[in-house]
Amino acid sequence: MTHRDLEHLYDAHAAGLFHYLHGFTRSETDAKDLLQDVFVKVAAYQGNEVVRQPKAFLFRVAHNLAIDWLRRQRSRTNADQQLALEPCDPHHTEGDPDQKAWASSVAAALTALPDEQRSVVELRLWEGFTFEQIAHAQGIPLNTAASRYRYALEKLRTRLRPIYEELQ
Amino acid sequence: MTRDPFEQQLAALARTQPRCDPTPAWKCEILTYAKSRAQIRPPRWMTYPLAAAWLVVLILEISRPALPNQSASRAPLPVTPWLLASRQTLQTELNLP
Repeated sequence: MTHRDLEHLYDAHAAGLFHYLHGFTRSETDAKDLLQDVFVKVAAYQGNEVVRQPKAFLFRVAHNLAIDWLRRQRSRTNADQQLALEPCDPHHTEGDPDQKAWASSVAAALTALPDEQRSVVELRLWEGFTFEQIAHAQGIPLNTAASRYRYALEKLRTRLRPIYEELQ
Repeated sequence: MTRDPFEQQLAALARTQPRCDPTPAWKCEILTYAKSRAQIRPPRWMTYPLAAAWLVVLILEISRPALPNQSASRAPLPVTPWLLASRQTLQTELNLP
């Protein structure tokens, strides 16, 4: 893979990959390290998949790295320590205070979801993945991807109902 | 798949509200490191010729005919005179037969 190809992939997908990884790590530093690991693997990859489906390939690599990171972390830290990590509120909303409140509430609600549900929502709504692409990226059955999305949406709906109804 | 109003509201947030993006500042650092790590590994295409070469060497080594044994009536190894003298001295000192 040429340096130019790698640059194009980075320009197109680094932001989405970073937010996806940040959702797992809740730490900008750790998300950056994982993002670097993604591109180390991509730079060394010699197959054709990165050419045929670059976005799906990148997110699959990112997902696997995130899962490995979680396993290492869970064996080291307890839940109390995890709560001390940076809060995840990546939205920069300016101007409309209602939109700002909505964005902050959504970010907090997403953070409260289990990782397997939050990551599916992230891929579906922020990255525009189909359920088939999500299933491929995460190595899960199609029905599982769709189910996790539905459960996540219901939890978000319940948690965000007050502010959502207020905004209507 | 049609989306309900709540889902549409979420999707609109994803579309319209920008998220903070620190990745452009990291681009040079990350890609430089990634390329340097990728160059340390030998290209995959080299492994197949190397493996084939080793296989050929192994097959040749296994299939090589054994060298013929040397004649049983081989002349004794030459013994140097000083070695003989040393042996005789030792035998005398130790009263060996």
